[in-house]
Amino acid sequence: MSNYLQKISKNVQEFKTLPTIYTQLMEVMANSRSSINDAATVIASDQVAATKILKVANSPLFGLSARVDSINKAIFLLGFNEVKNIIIATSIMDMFDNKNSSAYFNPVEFWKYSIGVGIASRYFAKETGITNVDSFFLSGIIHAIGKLFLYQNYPQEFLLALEITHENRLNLREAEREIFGTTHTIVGELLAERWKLPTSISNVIRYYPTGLVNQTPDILVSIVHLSSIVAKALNFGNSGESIISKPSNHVWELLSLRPGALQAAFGELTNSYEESVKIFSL
Amino acid sequence: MARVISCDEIEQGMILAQPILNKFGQILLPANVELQKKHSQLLKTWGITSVTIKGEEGDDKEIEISEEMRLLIEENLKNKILWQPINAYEKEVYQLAFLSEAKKILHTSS
Repeated sequence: MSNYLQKISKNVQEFKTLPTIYTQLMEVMANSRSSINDAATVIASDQVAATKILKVANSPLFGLSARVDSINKAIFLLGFNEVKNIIIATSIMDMFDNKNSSAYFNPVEFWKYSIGVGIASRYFAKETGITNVDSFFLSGIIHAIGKLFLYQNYPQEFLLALEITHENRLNLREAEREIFGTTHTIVGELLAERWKLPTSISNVIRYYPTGLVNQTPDILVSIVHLSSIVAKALNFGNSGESIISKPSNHVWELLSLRPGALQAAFGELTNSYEESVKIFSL
Repeated sequence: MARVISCDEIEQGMILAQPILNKFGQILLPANVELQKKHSQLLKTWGITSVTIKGEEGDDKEIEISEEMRLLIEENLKNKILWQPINAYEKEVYQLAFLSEAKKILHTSS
């Protein structure tokens, strides 16, 4: 049982890194003399990435009223950070093969669910009055990436874990511990390290099932935690899990949403989910 | 769900739920026509003050749920939600799942 984690760590070490355009962009951003143009030039050098960024920037996820038709404009309207986050999200989505689906797990439905969590996270961040909502959509999109990695590398074992959760109405992580001796959240954290993502994001991946980082409530992690539950409640795609877990008790006080805010989100979340899924052309 | 609005509230893209008739019963605009902003003025010159338009899709707050359907939804949710909502927020989360389930059932049966 325990040698799974060793094998998985090795798989992660051999797995893909983020594309060069990302590292180049990080260098440009680290240089205080860099301008929007410098960053835009780096991005435009990769035509495929540039096209994707524009598509995503124009999706209802970001709710921009102006049409984003150039990378310069995307950076201007969304900021360096959010554009960088779009690159991370789309690159990670491209690393996986979405073709092999089975009764309990369908990668396309998994991505739809993840996009739904990204949309809900950004929405609740705004509802909570957070001014800088950067990273919320990225956090939502990749929060459960460990599942896909396990499915891709150990499909039989992962499907067995899902089957156990369906038959016994169990939490997925409990079944994963039985089979792998580890969980998709820990595997996801290893991937975040591999991709050198900031701690805030790897915390989301590791702790989204509770929203607590070392027993302490964390706002980003808690919002993704709540959003993962809301996305399941709204039948956004399919997370692979059969049950909708109870939100952690600390969430309500931490977010202090106005009464009725969750129910009021139904229409907007459903609409932007449907529109965004089309844009990601899944 | 259809709703009645005043001609002043007509927005581009609204869909007419019922035909607009003149006092002789002649159809001025048939049902399912997509309204345009300019219709607002036109209708007023015809002496029409209000129109019935279709509700937006996903505007599910107005779905009428029968007792039978409520029981079916609750039964479905019992397999997914293994906890009892204890505060107002948790009740809202449950309500979201309820609405989504209702939508799913209505879509598959229609």
